[in-house]
Amino acid sequence: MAARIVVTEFVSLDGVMEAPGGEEFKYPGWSFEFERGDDGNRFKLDETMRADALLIGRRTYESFAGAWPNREGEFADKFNTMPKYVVSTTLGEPEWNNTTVLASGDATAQVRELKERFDGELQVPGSHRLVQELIASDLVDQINLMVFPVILGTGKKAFEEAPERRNLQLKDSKVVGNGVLVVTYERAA
Amino acid sequence: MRKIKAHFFISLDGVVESPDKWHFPYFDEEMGAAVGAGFAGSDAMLMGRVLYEEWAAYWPEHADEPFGEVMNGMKKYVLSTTLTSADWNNTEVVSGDVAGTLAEIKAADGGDIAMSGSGTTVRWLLRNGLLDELNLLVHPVVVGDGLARLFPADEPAAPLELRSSETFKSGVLNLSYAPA
Repeated sequence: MAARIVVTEFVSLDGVMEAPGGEEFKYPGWSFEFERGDDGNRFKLDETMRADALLIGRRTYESFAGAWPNREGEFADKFNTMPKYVVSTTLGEPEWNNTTVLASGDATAQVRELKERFDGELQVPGSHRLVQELIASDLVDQINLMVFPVILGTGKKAFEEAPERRNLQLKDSKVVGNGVLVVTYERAA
Repeated sequence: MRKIKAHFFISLDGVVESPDKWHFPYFDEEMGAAVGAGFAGSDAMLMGRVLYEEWAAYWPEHADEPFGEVMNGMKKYVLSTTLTSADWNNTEVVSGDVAGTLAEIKAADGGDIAMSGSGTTVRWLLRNGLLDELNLLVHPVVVGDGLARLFPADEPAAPLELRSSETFKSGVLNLSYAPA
């Protein structure tokens, strides 16, 4: 029973996924400027509750580990308790509860091994570089995007230059809040 | 007021270049109907110099193809700083005070002004407040391959409004945005 790897991102219409909730960026916290409505909040909560673990890069780890331990509520409880796997060669002893560092230097091999032995849904939020590697090595089973109605024009993109074409299958799409699009793609059969 | 409506085939990673390399597997009745509807209220086309040169070399020789008569007959505006004249039937070069001329064209009587492709021109129109609609048929594919995207890095930010969205059986999304 292999794990299912689900990438989940907040993106602008031009595909920028950088710092939607803060951090250093030209438009820090840009996603908060849009009303995603009760439907949008419900989608994020349901999605988060479906996760069995997080698979993240070092920068996303640092951002999350700096924020979630100080928060309360359904989201925070889930993030703080579920297992976290961090792909990093530089992160030392992780302080955030239930965190494991995958540190061999070969991210793809590490993730492939984790995917083999882990049973459940591994969610990958943010994690720009890791996502590029996962897409390049065809380890992504599903992509959830919340597309906000704005062109940011600058910043890291969810899909940087891909070496190979990836055919996807649209599983679900809906509009939430004020023109925010929620789309779910799976690997095409 | 006539509207300038841009239409693109676009991949999930934002590629708009060479749709002939990735678009065809997704072409079906719904897509055809959407493309037709997109141009239904238009009686003129607007394009940049690059697309003009491609089409002006193609359509006059292919008048008997579907759309051939329409393409050759319809009024065409080409935005260019380098073209001085255009040989393709019913084509007018817009240069010099492009924004001013386009504002006049939009204020004149007539149907809407459709665009198909011409990413550079669309970005310029958006920056200058002249674009009225950005219509995207988002194909469920990550194309990559170094092909050009609609929005490369270093564009100014532009808030939009999602006016309508539709999902085709093929998994293509038909999205219509307007500048907010």
